[in-house]
Amino acid sequence: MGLTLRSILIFFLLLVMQLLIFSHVDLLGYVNPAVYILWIGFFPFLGNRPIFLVSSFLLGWILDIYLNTGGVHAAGLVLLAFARPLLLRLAFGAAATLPGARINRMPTGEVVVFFGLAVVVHQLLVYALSIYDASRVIYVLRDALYGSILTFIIVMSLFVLFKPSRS
Amino acid sequence: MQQIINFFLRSRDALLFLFLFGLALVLTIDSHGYHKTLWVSSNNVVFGNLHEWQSSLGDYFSLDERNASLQAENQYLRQQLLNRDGDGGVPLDSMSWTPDYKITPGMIVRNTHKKTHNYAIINRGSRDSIAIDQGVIGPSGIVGLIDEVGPRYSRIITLLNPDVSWEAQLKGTNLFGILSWDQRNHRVMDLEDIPRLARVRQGDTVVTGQYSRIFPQGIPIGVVSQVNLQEGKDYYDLKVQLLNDLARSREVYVVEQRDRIAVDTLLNLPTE
Repeated sequence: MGLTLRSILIFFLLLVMQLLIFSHVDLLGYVNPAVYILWIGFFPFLGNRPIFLVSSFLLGWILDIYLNTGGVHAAGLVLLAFARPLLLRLAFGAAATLPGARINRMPTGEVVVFFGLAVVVHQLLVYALSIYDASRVIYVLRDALYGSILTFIIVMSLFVLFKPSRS
Repeated sequence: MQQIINFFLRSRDALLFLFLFGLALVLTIDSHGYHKTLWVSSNNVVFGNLHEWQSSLGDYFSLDERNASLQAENQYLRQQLLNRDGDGGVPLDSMSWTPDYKITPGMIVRNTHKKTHNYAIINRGSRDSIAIDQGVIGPSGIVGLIDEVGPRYSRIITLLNPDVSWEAQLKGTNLFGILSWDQRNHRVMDLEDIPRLARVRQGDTVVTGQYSRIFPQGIPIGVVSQVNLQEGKDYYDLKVQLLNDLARSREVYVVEQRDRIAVDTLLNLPTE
């Protein structure tokens, strides 16, 4: 399967999973895992950057329209997309810049670091923007903590489940 | 010139990022400013139908519970019908001001309760003769007030919204207070302005007030859960536990007061 077609499929798969399932988990009444951030792992490492930024924005924004959250998820995903080169370097080192580098060819321990960083940054931004009230910083931190734990667990489970074989 | 073009080419990605991120921030701030996005999304063809489809799917999983709540409500209505002259009913004396109410049943298809300003969307609109400022009641108490109307859907500004306060009365007395939400617990509201002369106890019922132009008199709201009276203050600080769980309300009734427009016109007559 071509890389482009595969990316398009993953885009819609993540969108549908997030819309229909993972935005209705409501753990403790309000915490939902953000599985759509798998997008920043599955989009080809050396793919076209403007397309990556715009597609990330769109993915987040469609969720925002659905969840009535303005542009919270769009902001979160665009920030991750823009910061991805840095995250890749931190997690995988130079291996991420080699031609043919893909997330499923990376050691699981480094993938954990990659998604761990991404999840924390993303959840902090998302909750800061959606609560958007300086006097409620403590709630931002609490919700971001719960959100990060839940998101990380689900993201890693999905990654292990769906990652294509190494061959 | 060449250098400027080069600069833009070199920092193309960063500029694109700033543009998209800025756009997302503007959208976010806009949604916080006007609280209108819930409205926009539900009247959008694609998502409006998706919301309805999803909530209809969810219905199957809670049918038993819903039936029980409907049954309880029907029982309440029958009781009221049988005891019309009694406590809480509509007085039969037509000389007193007894407005005529029309009830339209509807379903909440989208609802928030964990934000600071909460709204719900109901699947009735101007086609069903819903209009702004009509009251909305649920199986066990009031839910909110219609504040936007579209052809198929309307938006309810629920009790859980600090932008609105509600006139409330202690049942069986002539004492009125102002009910508002403290933005903390979605089952608890504040009732103020009840004078200290009154004897208020925990468990007293709070109902809609006599002069409300939105709700009929005597619709239950909640029960007093905490009575605070500060030294030197003339009014109580009451906490009211809502009877309706607004997070789970689904079946609601829109109340149209048929004389309201006439009454409003009279109230707004210019004074000479």
